[in-house]
Amino acid sequence: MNNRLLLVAVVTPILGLLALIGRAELNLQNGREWHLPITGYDPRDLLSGHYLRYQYALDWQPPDRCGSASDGAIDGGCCVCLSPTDEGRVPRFHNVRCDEVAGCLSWARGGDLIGEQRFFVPAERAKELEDALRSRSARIRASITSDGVVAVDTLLLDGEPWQEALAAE
Amino acid sequence: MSITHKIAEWQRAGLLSAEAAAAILQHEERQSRPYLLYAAGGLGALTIVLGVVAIIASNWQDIPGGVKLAIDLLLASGVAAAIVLAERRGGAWLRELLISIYYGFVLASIGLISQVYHLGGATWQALLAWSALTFVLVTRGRSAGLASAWIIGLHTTYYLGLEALVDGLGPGREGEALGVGLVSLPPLLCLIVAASASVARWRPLYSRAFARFGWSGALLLASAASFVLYDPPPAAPPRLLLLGAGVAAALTGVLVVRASKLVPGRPAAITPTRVLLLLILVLGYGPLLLASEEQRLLAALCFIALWAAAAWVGYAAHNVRVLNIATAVIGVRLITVYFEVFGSLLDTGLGLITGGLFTVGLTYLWARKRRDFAAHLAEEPKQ
Repeated sequence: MNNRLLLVAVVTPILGLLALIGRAELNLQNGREWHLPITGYDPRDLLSGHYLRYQYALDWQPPDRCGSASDGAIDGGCCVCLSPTDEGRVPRFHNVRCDEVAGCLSWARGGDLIGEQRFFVPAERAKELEDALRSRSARIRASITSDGVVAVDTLLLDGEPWQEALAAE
Repeated sequence: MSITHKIAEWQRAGLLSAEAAAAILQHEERQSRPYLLYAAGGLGALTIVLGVVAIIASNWQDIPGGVKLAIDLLLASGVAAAIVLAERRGGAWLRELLISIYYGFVLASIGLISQVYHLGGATWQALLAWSALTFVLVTRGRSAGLASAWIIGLHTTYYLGLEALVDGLGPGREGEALGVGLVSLPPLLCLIVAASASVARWRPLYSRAFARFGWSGALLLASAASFVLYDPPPAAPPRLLLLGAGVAAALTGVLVVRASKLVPGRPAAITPTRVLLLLILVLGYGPLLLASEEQRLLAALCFIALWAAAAWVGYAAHNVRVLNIATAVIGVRLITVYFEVFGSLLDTGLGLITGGLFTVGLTYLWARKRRDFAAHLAEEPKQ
């Protein structure tokens, strides 16, 4: 009995970690890919330790169906409906009520797209990346699942993954 | 000094017979472990691990996320297998050490997954996942150290979760009241665990660790609440504070009924324990719910009453440490009351002399009473 319980005790964390990895991988694989424009959360200080602090630069389109989306200050209880633009994967954003997302190509909860976001960056390349962010177009390549989960894949600089963009300099 | 030297010393002092000394030495030899072997083996294993860590760290950027996670899972599986192996071979201390390492490693692994997949969740969510995944694992441990680490981990998870809950309610007194109301619950929950007969039987060191954290936390929080009387909130307490007070009252009720389990083998300490539990509830929430104006004297009296009850429990339970701490806290509080009341006199030489005399007098009284208490505690046998 004790041995069996110990086996359960040591296997449970591994199964849990596998489940976390599996869920993250599924979200990335099963969602629709979008390139979401970003800006620094605090333009004077883009980095916090190993993290790049950013916010989504949401280009709101009328009509506004859930409170006011002016200046990106949308209500966390609202949802964001994404529709394609001429730029392919860069979307237009519509502020809608969460019970009105049925017709959206992709949608996300407002709370997931507003406010400070963090992206892990290696400390030794932080300065280089900070400079690049100030001078180049930055986007987050993310996968948004049918149930509104935003899974961040990587940071794009001028449309290229940041490692490749910096290596090409 | 080694045990052999000590035994020889006790023999010379006539405290130990030659037969008893021989029996002790024989027993110690049987109990002795090849510590040098363990140390050398451990050092070798540590060197290998450090080498692997150094290689991974220096190539961290070049290692793809998937490979990092695969290495992480392999290491986790290795530690898991080592725990099972240590259990089968009866290596209690090694098993305990490995469970502690595994407990921390799971948290680091969750951090790595968050980093690789850029998961933007809150810290409390990661800690909650960690606490849930390692719950059964940590219950397999037996040492006080692991129990303390677990309790600290659970407390951190609870308080970060509570902070997120309060933030979620937005600015205002309702959120603040919910936070204040629920902040006192973990110590009471710790005492509930400590009062469990099964935990005391199967994991005695866990039971003691939960009791230590529970009593310390409950006393500190109730003491802090008495200071609300110095600066009471301006309006009537919000409804949500009552929610926390209600849950705390229910938990205290359970503890009052099971008070004998908190002071096992000390029937004389059951009533003082019940009084202390009720004081913790009343003084922990009373000032928050009822205070309407500044009442410094009442604040000091509440504080002293609380610690006097703690001293009573220490006295009745023959716990010298608790008794000493409680009486010392009362002494310090009395001195601060003196300085609060006669603070302005400190500007004068006479005031300083009176203050000094008061402090010395109090210390003298405390030292004398402590001797009396110590004599009493030494006399009365455990029941």
